[in-house]
Amino acid sequence: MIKLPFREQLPLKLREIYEKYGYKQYRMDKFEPYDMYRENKNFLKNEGIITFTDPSGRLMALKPDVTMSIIKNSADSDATRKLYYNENVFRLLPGRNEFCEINQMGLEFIGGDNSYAQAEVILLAMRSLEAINEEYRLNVAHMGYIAALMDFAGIQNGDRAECIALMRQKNLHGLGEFMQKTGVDPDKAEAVRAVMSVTGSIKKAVGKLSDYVFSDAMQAAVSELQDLTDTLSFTGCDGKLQLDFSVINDPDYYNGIVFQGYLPNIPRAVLSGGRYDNLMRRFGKQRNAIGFALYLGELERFFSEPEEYDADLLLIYGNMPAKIALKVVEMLKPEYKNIRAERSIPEGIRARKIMNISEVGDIRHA
Amino acid sequence: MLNIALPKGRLGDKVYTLFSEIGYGCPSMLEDNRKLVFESEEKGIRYLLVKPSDVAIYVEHGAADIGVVGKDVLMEYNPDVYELLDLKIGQCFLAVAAKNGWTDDLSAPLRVATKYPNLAQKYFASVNRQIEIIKLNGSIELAPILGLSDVIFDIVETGTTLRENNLSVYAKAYNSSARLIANKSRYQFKSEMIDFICRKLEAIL
Repeated sequence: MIKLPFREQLPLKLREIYEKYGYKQYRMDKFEPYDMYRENKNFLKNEGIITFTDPSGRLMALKPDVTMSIIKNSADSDATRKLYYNENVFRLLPGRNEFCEINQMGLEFIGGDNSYAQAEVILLAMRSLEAINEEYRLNVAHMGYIAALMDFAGIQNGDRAECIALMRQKNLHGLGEFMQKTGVDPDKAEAVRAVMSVTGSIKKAVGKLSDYVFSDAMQAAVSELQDLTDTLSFTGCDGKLQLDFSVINDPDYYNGIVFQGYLPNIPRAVLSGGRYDNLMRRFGKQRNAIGFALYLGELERFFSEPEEYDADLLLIYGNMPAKIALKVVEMLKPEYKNIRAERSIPEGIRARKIMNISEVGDIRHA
Repeated sequence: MLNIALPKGRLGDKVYTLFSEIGYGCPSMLEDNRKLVFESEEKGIRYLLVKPSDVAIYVEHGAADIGVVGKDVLMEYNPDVYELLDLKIGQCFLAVAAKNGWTDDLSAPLRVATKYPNLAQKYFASVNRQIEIIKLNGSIELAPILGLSDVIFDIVETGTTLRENNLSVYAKAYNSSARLIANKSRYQFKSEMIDFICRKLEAIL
C-alpha cells in the first residue's frame, strides 16, 4: 500500500473524528444561484464571487462558502442536524486581485441543546487541531458579551464596526483614543480596556471576567462561558483553550461563542467558527446553529513533504524495443518503490539508482 | 528565538535604541556593515532590517514575529496583525499639500500624487472630493511642481521638504507614529516574551 502524504491523511483522520460523534457528510453542488450570496455578502468578508449566467439567463455563482448553502438547504424542523463537509470554495484573496480555490473542511451543529452543542463543537475543534499538531491554541470569545459591553459603554451602532476592528487588533491605545473621540464615559472606557486585557487560559480568564459584569446580558454570556469551561474541564486542555476577545467576528451573523484556532509555524488562523443564530434568522430559520471550518489549504504549504528522489529506479532502455522495455519494468517492479523508463537520461532528474537495460541480466527471459 | 522586523533607516535606529534600553541590545547591529540579519543568541532575539513599507508584510506572513512600523503604512495596507503598542516616536502626519497659494478647482477631479493610494481614496471620500490617483514611489514633492498633479498626499514630519520645494500643507488628514505589531498566530505561542517586551517598552516611553 502506498503511504498517503499527511495532507491526504488529514481529511480521513478528521472524517473519522466527526463521524464518531454522529456527523454525516454533506455534499454540495459546485454552483448555486447568486442571489443568496449577494444578500449576505458581508458574511463572506469580501465581495469576490465568481459569477456566470446559466442557459436560462439566471446569474449563478461558484460556491464561495458552504455554511450558507447548508443553512439554506436545511429544513427548519425540530430534528437536530449534524453535518460535516470537505469542499473547495472559490474566493477573491484578501488584498489581492486574484481568485483562489480554498479547501475547507468543517462541521455544523444545527438545533439541539445549546450547552451540549457548543461544548461538543469546541471539543471537536480542539480534536481537529490536535490531529495536526498537539501544540495548538484555540481562542474563544463571546459575541453576546461584547455586544452587551458596547451597550454598557454607550457605543452607538454606527461606531461599532470600528470598535470591533480595534478589538480584533488588540489595539488598546487606539481603543482608548476611539472611546475618547466618541465620548465614552472615562470610567466605562477604562472597564472596556480592562476587559480586553483579560486573556489567557480559559478557566482563570473567565473567572476574572466575572469581575466585569454590568448587565443581565453580560451575566448570561459569562454564565455560558463558565458552563463551557466546566463541561470541558475533563479534557485537561485548559492551557490550550484560551479566552481572547481579539477573535470576535461580525455581529450581524455571529452571536454567542466565537473561536479561532492557531498552530505553531502557520502564520494565520487555520480554524474559525462560532454560533451563528443571527445568520439562521436571516434565512428565516428558527433553530440555533454553531459550527467551524478548517482551512486545509493554509496547511498544505507547511506540511508538504518533499520527496528526495523523482524516481527510485531510472531505467534507460536506449534503442531497445518498447515491448522489451516494458517487460523489464514488469520484471523489476517487485524490487523497487517505483520505476521510470526512459530512452535517455532526462535533464534534471533525481534518481536513487540509474540502470541501463543492458545491465539487467535476463532480458531474453523477460 | 523571537524575530523582530525593524524598518531600515532613521526610524529603525530610534527603535533599536529603545529595544537596547530595555535590555535587548545586539552589539553587532552598530557595526557599519550591510548585513540585514542580526542575532543575539543569549537574548533569544533576531533583528531583521527591511524596507519600512515591508515590515507589515513580514509580520503578517509570519517571517517576523513582531515588528515596528508607521501607522501610515498600517492604514494603507490594513494587514491582519495585532497592533500592540504606540511607541510615540517617528511622529508625523498625513497631509494634502500643494504649491504655495494653490486653490482647489472644484469643476474637475483633483489629481493627487501619492505613495498611499488606498488612504488617499479613503480621505478624499470622507471629504466628498472626487480624485484621480497618480501613484508614485518617491520624490512625491516633484509632482505638483511639474504639473503632474494638483496636490500631493504624503507624510509630513518637519515640513522642511515642503518648504524647500515651495509647497505648503493644505489639509491635515491623519496622525501617524511608530507602532509595535505582532503576527496573530505567533503571538499565541510567544505571548509571554512579547507581552514582556511591550510592558518594558511602555515603561520607558
